[in-house]
Amino acid sequence: MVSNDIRDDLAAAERTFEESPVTIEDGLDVDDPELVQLRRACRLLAAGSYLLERGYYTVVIESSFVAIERTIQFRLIHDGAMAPEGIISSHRRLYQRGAQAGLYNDRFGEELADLWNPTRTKTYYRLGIATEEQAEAMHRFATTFTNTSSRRAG
Amino acid sequence: MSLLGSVARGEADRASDVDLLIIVEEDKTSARRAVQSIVRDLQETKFDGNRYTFQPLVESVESARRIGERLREQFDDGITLVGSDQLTEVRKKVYADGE
Repeated sequence: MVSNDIRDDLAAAERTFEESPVTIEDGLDVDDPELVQLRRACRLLAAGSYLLERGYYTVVIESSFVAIERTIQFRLIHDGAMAPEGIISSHRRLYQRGAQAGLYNDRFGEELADLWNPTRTKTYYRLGIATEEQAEAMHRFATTFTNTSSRRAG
Repeated sequence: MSLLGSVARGEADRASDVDLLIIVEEDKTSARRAVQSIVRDLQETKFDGNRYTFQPLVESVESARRIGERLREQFDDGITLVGSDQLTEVRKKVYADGE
C-alpha cells in the first residue's frame, strides 16, 4: 500500500525533472551535448574514486558501468553516430552501437555486455556481494576506457 | 556499397535516414571508424540546402554471411552504388545460404 506521503514525494521528484534547471551540478553547466556526457563520465569516476577509499564497493561498480556508458554516448555523439537527443535504453544495444561506429570491435562490445549482465544484476539483487577487488578493477577499467576514448576524440 | 531502406525504395521523405551497407574485406573495426568519420562530414554538409542523417552498416565479408538472413531482405530492396566481384559473390552466398 502506497501512502499519500510517498505519492507526494514521487510527484515532487517528477516535478524537479520537468521544471527548468535551478542549481546545476558543478562542471555540467555546458551547452555542448557531447561534452555534458563526457563531464558526467568524469564526475562519476571522481565520485567512484572517493567512495572506493571509503569502502562503498557496490556504488563504485555501478557508477563505473554508468561512466563507461556515458563515455560511449559521448563518442557516438562526437562521431555523428547518434543524435544528441537520442536515447538508447538497452545497455547491450548501446555497447553494440559503439562497435558499429568502430569505437572497438564486436567482441569487445559483447564482452562489455556480458560483464554488465552478471556483475550488475547480481549486485542489484544481492545474489552477488560486491568486493573491494571488483570495485578496484571496475574503477580502473572505466577510468582507462574514458581516458582513452576522450584522447582519441581529440 | 549498397543503398538500402526507404531511400532505395523511393519512399523516403526529407527526414528519412540514408541507410548504407558497406562490405569490406579488411579489418571491420578500422573500416567502421573510417566510415563514421566520413558520415560525420556528410552530416555537416548541406545538399541543396538540406542536411541528412546517414546510417551506415559496415560488415566484413565474413560477418555479412553470418547475418545473411537480415541482409537478404536488405539486398531485395537495395541499390548497389559501388559494385565489385566480391560484392556479387557475397550476395550470391547470402542467397544460397537461405535456400
